[in-house]
Amino acid sequence: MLKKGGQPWIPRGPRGSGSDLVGDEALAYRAASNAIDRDLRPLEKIKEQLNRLEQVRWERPNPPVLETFRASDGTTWDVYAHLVELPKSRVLLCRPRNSPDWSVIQEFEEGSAYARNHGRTEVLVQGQNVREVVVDYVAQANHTLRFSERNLVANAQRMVWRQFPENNPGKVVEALMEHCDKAVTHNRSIGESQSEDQDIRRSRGMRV
Amino acid sequence: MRLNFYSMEESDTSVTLEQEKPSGLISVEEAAIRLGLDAFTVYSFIQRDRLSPILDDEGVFLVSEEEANQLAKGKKE
Repeated sequence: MLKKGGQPWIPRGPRGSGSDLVGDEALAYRAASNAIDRDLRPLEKIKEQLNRLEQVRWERPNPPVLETFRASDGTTWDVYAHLVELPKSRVLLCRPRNSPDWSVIQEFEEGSAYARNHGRTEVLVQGQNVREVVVDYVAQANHTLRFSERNLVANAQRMVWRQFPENNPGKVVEALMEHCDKAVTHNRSIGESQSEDQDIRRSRGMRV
Repeated sequence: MRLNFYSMEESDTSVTLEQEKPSGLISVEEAAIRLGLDAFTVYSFIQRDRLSPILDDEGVFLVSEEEANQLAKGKKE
């Protein structure tokens, strides 16, 4: 850890802004960020994958089939792209054999309690336009990322206030929020503008 | 959720903070373990109304242990 005047030091914001974390503040920040990093890292990886999806041109005339699988209802699905690898599942761009409709499907790990009782695959988004289907999924996933991040920050806030009440916890929490936000903030440059309306509409129907 | 605080530089002490949860409620991460899923998927289930979130006094979302168990056993759609 950096030191300034012999004290642990984490520089933040413009020079002289007073937002640097010094001494016990820096130690509290480091302890808390170490504690949440295990949960934050998977979110960062998901975010990177979503960002990549936003750069892809989906309207290819004859996309190749990467693999096929048979769902529990007997439908044969052709897989055209691996969209996101999650820690215990993967998200695939598929079409039922001989159908023009596109679907984003989540495939769960075989043998998980959920998959055993609900089947290994679930359709997340469906539609006729491949680009719209992917953009819709990316918007949903970004929404979930923001929700996950908010809960992580709330957990971090609780720990800091309980564990380091004397170490300027408000300032430490602010730095942690910034840290989490940087990891999962949505890149709005591509994709979201078109999907935002749908995202908002869907959000209204959600409890969160 | 068990969170460990290690090595405050000067003191070299390690501290464990156990998240206190109201009875019958579990964290999203704990629900994910029971379902054999990742936390991100459980958060998406909450957003799709597959699980009901419960906000605790400190602004952290938890889920009902019973509801998570029912979903794991296929007794809840």
